Amino acid sequence: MSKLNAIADGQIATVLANAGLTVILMTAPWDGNGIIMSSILKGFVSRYRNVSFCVADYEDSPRLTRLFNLTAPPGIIFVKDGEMVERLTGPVNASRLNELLQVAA
Amino acid sequence: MESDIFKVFILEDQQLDLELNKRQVRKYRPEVFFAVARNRTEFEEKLVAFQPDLVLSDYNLPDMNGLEALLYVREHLDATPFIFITGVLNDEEKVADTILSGASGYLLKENLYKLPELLATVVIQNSEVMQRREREWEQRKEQQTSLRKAIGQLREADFDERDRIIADLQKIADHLS
Repeated sequence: MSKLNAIADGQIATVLANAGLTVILMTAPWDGNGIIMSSILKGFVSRYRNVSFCVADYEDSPRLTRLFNLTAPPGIIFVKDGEMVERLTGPVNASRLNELLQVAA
Repeated sequence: MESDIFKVFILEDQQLDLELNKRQVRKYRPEVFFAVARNRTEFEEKLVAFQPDLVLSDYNLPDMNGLEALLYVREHLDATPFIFITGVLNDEEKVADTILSGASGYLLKENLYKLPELLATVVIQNSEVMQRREREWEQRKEQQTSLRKAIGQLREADFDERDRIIADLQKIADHLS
């Protein structure tokens, strides 16, 4: 299973400048739902090669949490060309994520 | 704006106008995060979730007008700065009504090149409001994160009634989100 790219506050400008789709999972070690969603996203990496899949630590990335308006993990944000395309909070199942990826990728 | 990234919500149904708006906003602040709505449904779905620093809105949209959008923002996002960008808001009386209804400013599309200047003025005028919203957001975040973290830690513990207590706390946490 492929890995997600680990990002933090320092990569915000890079994410916003990417013309393609970036999918960011924000989670924490104590966030059970986020750990499950991380596995789901890893399963999509090889299927959607044109999408950049990333993960950020919720507590270590205060600028990202503010930018994405996340007051608690987990959250998944789709960003394309500096625009928020989708924002999901709480647990999300694989089929729902796959539907959204097909539309946005 | 704690994140230093300017968050702008644009309500605009014309793709070309949308791109022109974005270009002018980037002239004011290169690091910007956008959310876009092209109709009422998208507007109501995305606005509160995005929590913008500022809203730019066309006046005439297919299924709503700019004043309705402004009232929605005032109801759900308090005093978030709101600017009309329109091709038709050229009647002085209408302009006065719009400003009195709580818009932070307006711009005709033919004068769109003035948007960076207007954004600078509006941001300065509303800096106190924006700072207050930041403080309130930080408080909300701290409370919700503490609660979720406590639930996560409880899952690791072993004691009577653990599952019931977790379920009760989870219900409260889900309600707060």
